[in-house]
Amino acid sequence: MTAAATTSPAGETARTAGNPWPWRIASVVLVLGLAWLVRTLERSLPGALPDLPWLKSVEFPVYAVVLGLAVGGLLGALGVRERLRWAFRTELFIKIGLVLLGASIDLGVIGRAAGPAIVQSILLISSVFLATWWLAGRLGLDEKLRALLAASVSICGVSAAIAAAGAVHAKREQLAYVASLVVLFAIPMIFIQPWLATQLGLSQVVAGAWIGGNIDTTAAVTAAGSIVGEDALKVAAIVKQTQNAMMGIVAFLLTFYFVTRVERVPGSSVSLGALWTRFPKFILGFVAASGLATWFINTAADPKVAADIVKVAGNDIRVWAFTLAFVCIGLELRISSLREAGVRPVIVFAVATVLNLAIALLLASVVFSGFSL
Amino acid sequence: MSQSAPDTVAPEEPAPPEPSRPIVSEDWLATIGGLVILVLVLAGVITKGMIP
Repeated sequence: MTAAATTSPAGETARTAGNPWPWRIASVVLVLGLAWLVRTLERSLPGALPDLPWLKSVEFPVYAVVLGLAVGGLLGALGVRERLRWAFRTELFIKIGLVLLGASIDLGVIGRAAGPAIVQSILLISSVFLATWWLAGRLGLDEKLRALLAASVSICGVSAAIAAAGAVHAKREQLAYVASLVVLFAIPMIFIQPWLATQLGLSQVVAGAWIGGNIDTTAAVTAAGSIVGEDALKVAAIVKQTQNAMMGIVAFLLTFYFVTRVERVPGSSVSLGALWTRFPKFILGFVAASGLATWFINTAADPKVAADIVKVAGNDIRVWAFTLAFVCIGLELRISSLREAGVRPVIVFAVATVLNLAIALLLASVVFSGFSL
Repeated sequence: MSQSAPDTVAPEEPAPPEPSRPIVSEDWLATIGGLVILVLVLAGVITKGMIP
C-alpha cells in the first residue's frame, strides 16, 4: 500500500504508511484506560461526595461520553486522534454487550412469575413506543433518532437505545444524546415516583410494577424500588426483566420497518436476502444467550450460585463492553453534531416520559391488582 | 453522456468533513464473541475475580 495522507476536519494529517503497531497498542491502552477510569469514577465518586446522593444513579454512559469527549478533544488538538483510532470499535463493543445482556434474562423467572408483567409490557411498550414515534415525527426528527427515543422511553433506557441503534444503523451522536437523556430523566424519577406512589396510596406490588415499567435505568429502578419496600423492589425487577426481554422483538421489528419502508428505494422490492443481510445478528446471540443462561440456572444443583455465575457475563462483562463502547463514542464525538440535534429530542423525551408514567400507572393498577409474590 | 477526463488535474483539496458514521454491522464477530465469553464464564474459565 502506498503512503497516503488524509486530512480530518480538525486539520490533522494521518499517515497510513510505516509501522502502525505502536499507535495501535497505544490506542488499545487509551480505550481500556479510559474505560477503567470511568468504572472507577462510577464506583468511587458517590462515596467521595455523600452530599450528592443522586450521584449514585449517574451511570457509566455519562462518565464515558464526557471523559471520552474531553480526551478526544485534547487528542484532536494535539493532532493524534486519527492515528489512535484503531481501537475505537464502538459497534463491536455494543454488539458484544447486547449479546451478553441476553444472559441477564432468566426466561424461567418470566415464565413462572410474570404473566401480568408480560401483559403490561406488551401494552405499555406498544402504546408508548408508537406515541413517542408519532410525537418525534411531528417535531421533525429523523427516523433513526425517533427509533432511539421511542425504544429508550418505552422499553428500558440505555440498553434499548443501544439495541435500536444497532437495528437502524443510527449515528453515534444520536446514541450519545439519547443515552444522556435517559440518565438525566431517570435521576429525579428515583425520588418522584416513590413519593407519588405513597401519595396515591398504591400497594407495594402495584408501585413496583409502575416503577419497573417506567424508570429507565437499572440503578434507578433498584433505588426507587427499595425506597418503597422489598416487595416493590422484587416486582419492579421482574417487570424490568420482562421489558428487557422485549428488546429483541422490538429490534427485529425496527429492522423490518427500516428495510422495507424507510430505506427502500421507491419502486424496488425487498428480497428475503436483503432482509437477512440487514437483520441484526446480535438478536440471535441475545436470544441464544438468554436460552443458555436460563438452561444453566434452571438445571443447576444450586440455582443461586448458578445465577451469580451468569451475572459475571450478563452484568459485569456486559457493563464493561458498554463502557468501552461509550468511551469510543465520546472519543469520536463532535459537539457541533450534538448542537445540530437541538432541544427537540429533550421535548419529545419529556412528554413521552409523562405519557409513560400515566399509561404505566393505569396498566399496573389494573393488571397487578390481584397479583401476589 | 459521459464527459472526457480533464487534461489538467485539479489541485488536491482537503477531504470533506467526515459525516457522522452510522453504526455499521460487525454482527457475526460480536455475536460469536459474546457467546464465547458467556460459555467461558459458565464453564468457570472466566470468573468474577478476573473482572476489575
